[in-house]
Amino acid sequence: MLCAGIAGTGVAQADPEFESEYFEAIPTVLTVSRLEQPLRDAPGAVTVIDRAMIRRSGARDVAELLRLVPGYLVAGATGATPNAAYHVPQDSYGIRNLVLVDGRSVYSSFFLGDTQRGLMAVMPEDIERIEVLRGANSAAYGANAMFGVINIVTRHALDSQGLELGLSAGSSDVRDSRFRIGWGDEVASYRLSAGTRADSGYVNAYDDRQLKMLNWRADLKPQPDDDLMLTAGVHELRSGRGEYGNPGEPTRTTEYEDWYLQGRWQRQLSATGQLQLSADVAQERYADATPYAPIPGVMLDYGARGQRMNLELQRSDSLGSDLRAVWGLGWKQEQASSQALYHRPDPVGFHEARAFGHLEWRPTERWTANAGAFVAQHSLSGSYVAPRLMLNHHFTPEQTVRFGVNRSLRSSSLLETFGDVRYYHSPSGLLVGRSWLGDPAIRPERLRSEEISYLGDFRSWHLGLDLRAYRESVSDWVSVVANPLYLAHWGNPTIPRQLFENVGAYTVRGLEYQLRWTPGPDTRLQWQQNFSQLDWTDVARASSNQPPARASTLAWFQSLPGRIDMTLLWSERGQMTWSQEAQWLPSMRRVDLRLAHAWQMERGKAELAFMVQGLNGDVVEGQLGYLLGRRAFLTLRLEQ
Amino acid sequence: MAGACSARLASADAAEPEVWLALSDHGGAGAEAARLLQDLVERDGRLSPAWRVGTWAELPANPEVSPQLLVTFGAAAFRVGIERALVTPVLGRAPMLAALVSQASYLDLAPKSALRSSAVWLDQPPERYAELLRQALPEHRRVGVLFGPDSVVWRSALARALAARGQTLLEATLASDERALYPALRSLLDEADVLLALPDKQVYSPANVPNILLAAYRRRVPLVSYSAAHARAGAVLALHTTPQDVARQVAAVLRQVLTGRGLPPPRLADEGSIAVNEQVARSLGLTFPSSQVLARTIHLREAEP
Repeated sequence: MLCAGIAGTGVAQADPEFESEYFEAIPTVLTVSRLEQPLRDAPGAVTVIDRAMIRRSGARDVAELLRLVPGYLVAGATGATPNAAYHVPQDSYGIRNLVLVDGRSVYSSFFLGDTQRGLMAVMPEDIERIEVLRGANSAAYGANAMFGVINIVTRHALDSQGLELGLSAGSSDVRDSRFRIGWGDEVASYRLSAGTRADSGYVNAYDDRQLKMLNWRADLKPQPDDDLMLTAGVHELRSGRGEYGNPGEPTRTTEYEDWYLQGRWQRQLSATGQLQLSADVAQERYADATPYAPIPGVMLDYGARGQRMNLELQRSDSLGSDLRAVWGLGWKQEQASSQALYHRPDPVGFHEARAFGHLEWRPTERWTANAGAFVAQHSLSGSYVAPRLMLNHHFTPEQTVRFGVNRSLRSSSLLETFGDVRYYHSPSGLLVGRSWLGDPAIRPERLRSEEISYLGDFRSWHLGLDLRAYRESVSDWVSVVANPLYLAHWGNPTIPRQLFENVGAYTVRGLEYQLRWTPGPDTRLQWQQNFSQLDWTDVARASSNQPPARASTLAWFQSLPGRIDMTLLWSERGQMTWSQEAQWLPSMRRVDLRLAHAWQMERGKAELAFMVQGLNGDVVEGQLGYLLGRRAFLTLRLEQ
Repeated sequence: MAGACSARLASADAAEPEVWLALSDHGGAGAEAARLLQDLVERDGRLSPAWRVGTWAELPANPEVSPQLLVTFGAAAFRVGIERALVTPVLGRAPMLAALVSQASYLDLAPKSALRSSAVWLDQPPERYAELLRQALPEHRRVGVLFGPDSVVWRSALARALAARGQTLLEATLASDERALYPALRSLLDEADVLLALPDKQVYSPANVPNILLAAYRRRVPLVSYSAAHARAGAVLALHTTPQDVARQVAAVLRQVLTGRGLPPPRLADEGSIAVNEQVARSLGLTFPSSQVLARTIHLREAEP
């Protein structure tokens, strides 16, 4: 009887209420396939530089930021060629680094495989974070991941919407500008950023630099499980080269232009599985020709064109509750054409097909094992395998010890292989000399690296410690050597003066660590040191590529009252040689100070920063005779 | 359906105090909370009310005796309850307790009536969120909150609770303009160490949640939420109110009313539960004590299996 009223009640159905959503399941958004491997499980030491640190460092380009990574040496042979090297001051061009920008390798094809221009062409303001994988990593990235991988992740277009304007000006003719516009929504978002960087480089050096950059990124989400990223960019660098008073190396302005296109499509196949297809293409052109004063009618020319193409398919999935795998296939092609560098009208180049696989196994909460291998068929170097094994033991939830061993290699650059630089008299057409000669039979450099590293995160003390002890043995090191025949046949223009050769082997042992401490909400301190020792098997090379016995950096980030932000960077290193010329650079100290004031505006925010580099006076960075003069500049940044 | 209704009514007896449990629908959290409530009261044994359980469509339209307590589960049931009470004097005399409602929904609906009503809100007190953040994420001191029309009432209480623990509130308030969500979120993520989600149907709508989770993860900013569903979807932590928590609190009110002490004023959730998404936490390099330990440290009843 009590239920009799039901039929006639007819209560209107209420709208869906928030409370039902409170309990309602929503699809898993951050599926395992979207999550990145945490640092404690990573197969090697990783340093992350986040956006806040990038901004607070005041860095004008990425190389400067690498001062915040333990083990890195940062300096340029000139002010126009900023360079960073992990542990060993290997070369002046960054050819043994792997630099990835959103997964795209940015090294240059035509010369030695330089990464320094690629590093310069990313504006720090566009970067979300930089993950530096300290140590060799060919097992994951193949040849060229020889001494560290600098993985730059630019901001998602949705995270950089609106307008941004930045202007810098100061001493050493620092004149930087930047403009960014971002638009769109979560289905399709876009960013276009344009910028210029200019300065007069080091004191005493002919190394003025004028860089123009235009970069574009689109992030599209046609379906909830699909992410498509497209990027494109064009850069133009005019920089000074040569030495005052050296007629053999006259001062002149070089021009470098490049463009790239990249696409990356990711599909979430399941909660644990992801498929990724990526492709990129890049072209570059370098012009550097000048009359050779000692012999009228002879031109010095290093001009070239290069192009690269890369394709990759990658699949990741869980193979069990404690086992994850990443595997894939890829193909790349590189070409360069330069009559000046290769003495042939046709392009030189190579292609490489690759397969890679990586397993992460977590049998217990305490252990993570990472094993991987990269197998490639290189048209010049032949086939190679780069394996890796790393064991991570989490002896407490806050502390991890890693043990690992891996083999890496660097496939030789086109210049090292095909280089044939000749100088002709014009208009007679007579050969007057030859300089570099490559060797088609040159062997790839190989590296075997062993490490024991430690990662501690003591939250109750607000303290983090990252320590790595390493032993890195390089064999078949490639370098330019004087051709013994050249002196024996002095005056014979057909004998090349310098040869690329596998010159020897060395071992570098050392210990690096970084301590991070945030004693209060307004203070962050970072202290890092690297102690290393390099021994060549051939004592004749004993003073080549010698790292400093000790290098230290202190970074102090402090928020002060009145929305003032202070950064103090102090670094010192012992004496070292950057290049094979065995030129000993004296020990140095450098202090940088940045003070910034930020404020809110009606429709955005603003920051005015004052930066002094080399506060303690002029310092020798990468080459004797050239000084980083004390440099001060103001930066105004407006963001909407 | 009528059978279910009759079965529930079998225990009704004129001598027993009658308690009505009005559901928004038959499934979901409301039905679960109502069932848990009955179990709790029956296990306790001190009271043995006669239950009438069902949706409003199943409950008597014109009862002869007014119930001693009318508990609605969910905002829809509460809204219909008010409508019924206003047109049915017998029901209008009964004290009404709104359970499984947010404070915002309750305050939105309750002023429309001069009825005796109170509530057990789903919302957790701001101090509890602040304490959870301090315990679980002591390094994440700048707490970003995106307030919307429903959640903005918590602003000053939360700011005080955070300040008392050495944390800072960074806030953005969303006006009615939907498009303002992402710009506000972006600027919060620029500054905040952690993003705290408070119940707000405009900000944390099912359409917005996936995008907010992705945006926060891209910036490596952990999201701490009020919803266990968010923790499953990708928030690192949730301090949420379960149907069981609601049932316990309603049982206490029920005892108070049935023992003649009257209807207490509305209260925030007395209890809560912690959900941890270990995979996301691990990926962000965060390690927490277990949800049970966290619950204990912020003085929540230990989660029961």
